Amino acid sequence: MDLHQLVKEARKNSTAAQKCLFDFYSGSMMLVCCRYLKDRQDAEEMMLNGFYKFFSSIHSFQYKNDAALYSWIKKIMVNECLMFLRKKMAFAIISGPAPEDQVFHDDVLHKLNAEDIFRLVLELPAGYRTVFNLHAVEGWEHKEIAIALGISEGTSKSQLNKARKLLQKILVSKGMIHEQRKTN
Amino acid sequence: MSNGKQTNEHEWRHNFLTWEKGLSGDGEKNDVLWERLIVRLQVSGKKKAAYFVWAAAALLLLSGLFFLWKYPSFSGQMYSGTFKTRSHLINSHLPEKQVVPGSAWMEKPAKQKTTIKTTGASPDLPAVEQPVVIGLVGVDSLKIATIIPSAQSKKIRVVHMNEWFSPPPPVFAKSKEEEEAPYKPSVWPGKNRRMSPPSSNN
Repeated sequence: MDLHQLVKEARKNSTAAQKCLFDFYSGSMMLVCCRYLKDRQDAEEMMLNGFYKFFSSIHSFQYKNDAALYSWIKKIMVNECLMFLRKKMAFAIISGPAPEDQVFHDDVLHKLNAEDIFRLVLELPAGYRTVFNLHAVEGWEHKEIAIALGISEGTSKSQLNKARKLLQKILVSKGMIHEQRKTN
Repeated sequence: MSNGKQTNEHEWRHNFLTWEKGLSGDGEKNDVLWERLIVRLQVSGKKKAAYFVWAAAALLLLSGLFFLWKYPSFSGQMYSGTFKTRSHLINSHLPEKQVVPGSAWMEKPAKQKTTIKTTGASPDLPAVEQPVVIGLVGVDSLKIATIIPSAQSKKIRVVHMNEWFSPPPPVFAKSKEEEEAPYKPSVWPGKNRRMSPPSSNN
């Protein structure tokens, strides 16, 4: 499937080309939206909003390669999800500090398969999940996350720290990893 | 060690993103979502078309107004033409003396005396040229009435006082002599009685 040709046809408002692009990217974009929103109906709505914006602004997109097209669509989806989360004020900090003596590194996740990681991320609360998705999965810096979410850089770092500790707790509870404690 | 951890971190992230990118949508569910999306796209397309139509209509209106503002004589010519015909009608019924010089829509007479010689009571006194004061004499409205077409004038029927409450006479075809004869009050049976003054005997 030549995506460049499909983009050209979609610019001419070709319904067939638009459907091909939608069928090609809908699966992965649905997963991206679910990773941020958890609720399937909200994720479908944000995905449709994202595709609507994509087809509306396809004239301003300059095709370089397939990876650039995928990155552009994914960026639109992530922005839609973040706008929805900001409206819903979903960045409430959970009271109760996580245990300090537990050590967690993201590299623990390499032992898990992608589907398990996805399910694991969904178990996190909205605020932790968003920061974890943006930093650990998308690779955003804390400065970028702070600007996108309207929070401070310090809050972003603390949210990420708490998200990791909660993941540790979940993994231990499920027996996926052994509990690791700090050695003084 | 730290390099190993970073490598592991990058590895699981790369694997996860690769797995996420390769997923395709659910067939039936995808069709339902596509139907919702295409309706939204078509509605927005119709809205855009409507905006273009309104913009074109507004542009036409503005260009028409601009044309009228820039070239007012186009409509002015028609207006003055109407005035010219009316003034021509008025002028033809007015005496020459009533022509008002300096008015916007009446023509000046070719020659106009501005002074007249007046003679005094005694022939010995020299004739003094006095200026003629040309006042702003307006058009005599009574004269204008003469140009009213006869079809608009109201016909007045003269009725004798004996016939005040009588119905109008029937209209029959008149002979040529009757048409040419002067008007006479109609003869109505029962109404042809003279109003005689009361006698002094009674």
